[in-house]
Amino acid sequence: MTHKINVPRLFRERYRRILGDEVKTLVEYCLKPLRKSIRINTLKIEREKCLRMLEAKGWELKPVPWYENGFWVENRNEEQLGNTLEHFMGYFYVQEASSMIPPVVLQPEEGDFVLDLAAAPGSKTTQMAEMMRNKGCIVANDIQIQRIKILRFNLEKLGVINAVVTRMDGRRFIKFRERFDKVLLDAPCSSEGIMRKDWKAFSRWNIRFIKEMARLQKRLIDAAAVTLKRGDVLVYSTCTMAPEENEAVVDYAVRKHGLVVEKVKVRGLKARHGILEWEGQEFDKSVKNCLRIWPQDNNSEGFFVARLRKE
Amino acid sequence: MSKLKIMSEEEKGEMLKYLEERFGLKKELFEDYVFVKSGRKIWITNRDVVDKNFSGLNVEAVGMLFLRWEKKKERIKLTTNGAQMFGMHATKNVVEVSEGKVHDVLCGLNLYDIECDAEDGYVILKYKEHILGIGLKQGRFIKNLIPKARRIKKL
Repeated sequence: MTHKINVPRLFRERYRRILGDEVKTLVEYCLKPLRKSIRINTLKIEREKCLRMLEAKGWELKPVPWYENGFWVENRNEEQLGNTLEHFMGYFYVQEASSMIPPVVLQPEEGDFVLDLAAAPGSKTTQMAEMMRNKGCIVANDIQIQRIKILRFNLEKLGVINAVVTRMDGRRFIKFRERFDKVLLDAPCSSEGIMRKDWKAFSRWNIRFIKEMARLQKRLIDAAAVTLKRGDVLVYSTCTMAPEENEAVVDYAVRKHGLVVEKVKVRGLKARHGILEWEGQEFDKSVKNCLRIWPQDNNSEGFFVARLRKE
Repeated sequence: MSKLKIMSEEEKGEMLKYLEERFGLKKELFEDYVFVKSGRKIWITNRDVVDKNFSGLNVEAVGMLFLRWEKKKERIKLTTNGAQMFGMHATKNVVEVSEGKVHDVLCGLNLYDIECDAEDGYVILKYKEHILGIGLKQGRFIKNLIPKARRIKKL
């Protein structure tokens, strides 16, 4: 099913430069409703037990290949997902399958001191807490009080005890040199990749906003790079496809902070390389190691992920 | 979050004594955890967290809000999340919610005409093996204390 939405001409033209005629497929997927997916929260229940409970209710669950606790739900809508005992209990969290990728790429471990620089609403923070089995510590930061409330609600509902919530402008972390073992910067962005959730967003889409976001993202990645310990890893991700907010930001971090873009392989994920040129700007060759995830590749949101090591 | 400090052993002992007396929760269950105090609120976290450097950070919360200490009434109210974390180990003042009433509890409705052995005061609400949250029992009435934001519209 597709919907009659006016996709801006400039949007098509920009991505035609990367995808050629495949841009038609991109637009087609942008207008398809997004598949619903959940992440079983093993901080509160064993995966198999939760699966049995949901399947007994007639849920058709299909595994998300890149995260063992992720499942697409084929025959339930969002309201039906929320109004269940299992959701009330925090046994699962409604999370888009692509958004499970950045923690998988970061691979936080039990004893780590992790910074989630733009954490709200907490999807990836709670996933990392699960991966760390509630050990170590995650500083979950956001700037707005309303977003902090949602973040705290989700952390507590899912049984997370290893998170410390901070309310700060993420750019201020530049003051805390080499403090964290791992940093996740899931940056605020123009959200092109999630227009499948909100088609009206196409009417608000504009280049000026993309450029404004890119400026902010560069300041945030400055902070992330400085506060990361030497030898450790920063993951930069966005839910947009705009090269200004993706490859250009990674290229900036490589040149300014000497970060190294590492090759990443994610199980079962179809992803493409980062692009090496955009609007006359050539990027460092290592930017090719970034993951560019188009909505049509995995029938998911669009996403971008880069794994950067500070040497 | 103002005046955040790790709970003293004395205060922790008092809290754990209450949890054992009220719900039969053994103090050994809490050995691996650290409790942080801010006003009347007590937060639970792990030992790794307290060793970390938070200087300069504007901390809003540490770990999970575990309970509120009502000093005047000499009572301690476990949060819904705190109850869900440890309630399966409770041996006293647990009220089993029937299949027919679980919907009411999840929607935030109070319970009437409940027959059970639990004492008046805070009780843990349980459905099968699922710990739903906390209620306040007065005779055959149980006030539902599940926060509004946690409630669901319908099952």
